[in-house]
Amino acid sequence: MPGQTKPRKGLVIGVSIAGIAAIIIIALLVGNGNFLPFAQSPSSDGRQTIPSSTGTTNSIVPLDQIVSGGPPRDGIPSIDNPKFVPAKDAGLQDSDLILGLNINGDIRAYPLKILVWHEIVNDEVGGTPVAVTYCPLCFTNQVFKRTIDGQAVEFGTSGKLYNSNLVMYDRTSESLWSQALGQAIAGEHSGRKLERIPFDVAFWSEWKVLYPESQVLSQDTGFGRPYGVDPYGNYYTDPDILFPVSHRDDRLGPKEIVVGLENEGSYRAYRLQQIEDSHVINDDISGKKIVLISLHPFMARAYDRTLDGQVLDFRYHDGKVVDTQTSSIWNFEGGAIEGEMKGKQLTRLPFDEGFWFEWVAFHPDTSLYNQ
Amino acid sequence: MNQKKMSMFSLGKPLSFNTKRALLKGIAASVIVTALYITIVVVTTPNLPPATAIATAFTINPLIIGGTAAAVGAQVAMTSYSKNLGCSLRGRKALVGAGSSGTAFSSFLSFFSLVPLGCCGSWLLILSLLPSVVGTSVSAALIQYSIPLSYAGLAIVAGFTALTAAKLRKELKLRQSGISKFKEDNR
Repeated sequence: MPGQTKPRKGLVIGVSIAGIAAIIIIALLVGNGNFLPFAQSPSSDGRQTIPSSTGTTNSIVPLDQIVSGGPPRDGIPSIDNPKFVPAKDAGLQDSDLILGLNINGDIRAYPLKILVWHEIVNDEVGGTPVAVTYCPLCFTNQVFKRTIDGQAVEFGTSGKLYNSNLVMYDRTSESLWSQALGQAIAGEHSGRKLERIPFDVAFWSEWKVLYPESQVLSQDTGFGRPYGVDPYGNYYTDPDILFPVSHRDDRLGPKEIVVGLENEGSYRAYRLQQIEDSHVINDDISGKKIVLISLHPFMARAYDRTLDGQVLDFRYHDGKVVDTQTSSIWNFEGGAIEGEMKGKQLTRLPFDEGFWFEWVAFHPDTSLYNQ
Repeated sequence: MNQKKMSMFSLGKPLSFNTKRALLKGIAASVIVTALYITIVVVTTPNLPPATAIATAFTINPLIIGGTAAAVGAQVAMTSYSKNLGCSLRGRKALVGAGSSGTAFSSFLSFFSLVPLGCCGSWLLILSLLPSVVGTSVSAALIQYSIPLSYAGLAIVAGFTALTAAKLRKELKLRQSGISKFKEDNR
């Protein structure tokens, strides 16, 4: 009876649509997305997608631990021709987080709400080619000098993960690079490390006051993305992680933000909250004397506190950073602004910043400051 | 009037052939919907072992998975039952169509919560492509309100299932009163 076949028809149509969607997704993933037009055709800037022949030989980590995240290479597109707008035209909320960079007086801010959709910005700041990177899952921000053997290289997203962390690839040799390690983990450059560049993660409210002359990454990226929303939702504040990690350590909550430093194979993590509360932390990592300073919410910086052969100890007093030896006053930039040391400059140190679970997964032997 | 109420289930009585068939179809539909959901989860989170991906999906979206499976199963069972009885539920096609659309909508949005399972994962890619399909503003709204919207989708599915149940009940009542009247007329 025709009347009886109608409902079945409706159901069949519904299930068919769902089935077709599933098949497309399966094909997309099994085929590594290579049949899709966006994966093969030139991107908006005319760049051709490199054929997927990434050299995964000569790996320094087990190859089976470099897993596909789902998208094809460059499925999450890096920004390769970034445009910038003045701070006053940035249109950011005070509570927006930015990654801030100051190289040779060229000051730039990269809103995380843009980075979350691209993960890598290939830029040149203060004459230095840099890769500004962000792995939302681990909350690891990192800036690298993107020069290999004197040649500037571009980085893209490989679509792969190592320890749930972004794996980049360089578009010259196609080697795979771990963002958290800042090191090539497979391919021609396997084992080589990229030079890290110090940066800040800050609230826009703080950054725009500290650096009103800052240039801000424009939302005019050449890609249509809903930049106002974060697809990770409440992931950052939810205390749990939903995926397995290679090494779990309960000394801190998995999503406690830590600053990690390394010296001669020794690793030490500092709770960002503790640095903010203390304002100044003097420490020694395998003989390297360092000081961590935080004068603004979310912002922490590390400096080498050995200056001209003299080790300085710092303290926070009356809203100022003062060294114990000469009572000189130092600013957040690591420069002495008053006292005997006036005009002297501490050397800023790069560090890792991210969730505890990520730091400890990569550095299981890490010590934890004040524990 | 001392008449027995007609229903799909009568406690203490063995299930009729029609009821059994309808139940089996309903269970099969539930299983298919759940299996489809799980398949999509496994395929779109290749960085996780399948068992972990499935367990995680059930941890994140237990209501959506269970609710849609139950609602779709119930709807299929009821439409099958009514069809076998020869009842013609008015607007049955629309009900099933709306239920299926609601299921697809609810499931699709619930997948958005899988984004945190992988940095640059499949769902980040799929969400990246949304603006080219539905525009930036709609994409932003869908992403921002994906959880309440997926529950709204589930509510739609459940609502249409309830509507199907109500219509079936009405049809069965009409049918029962017709039988009773026929018996009285022939007494």
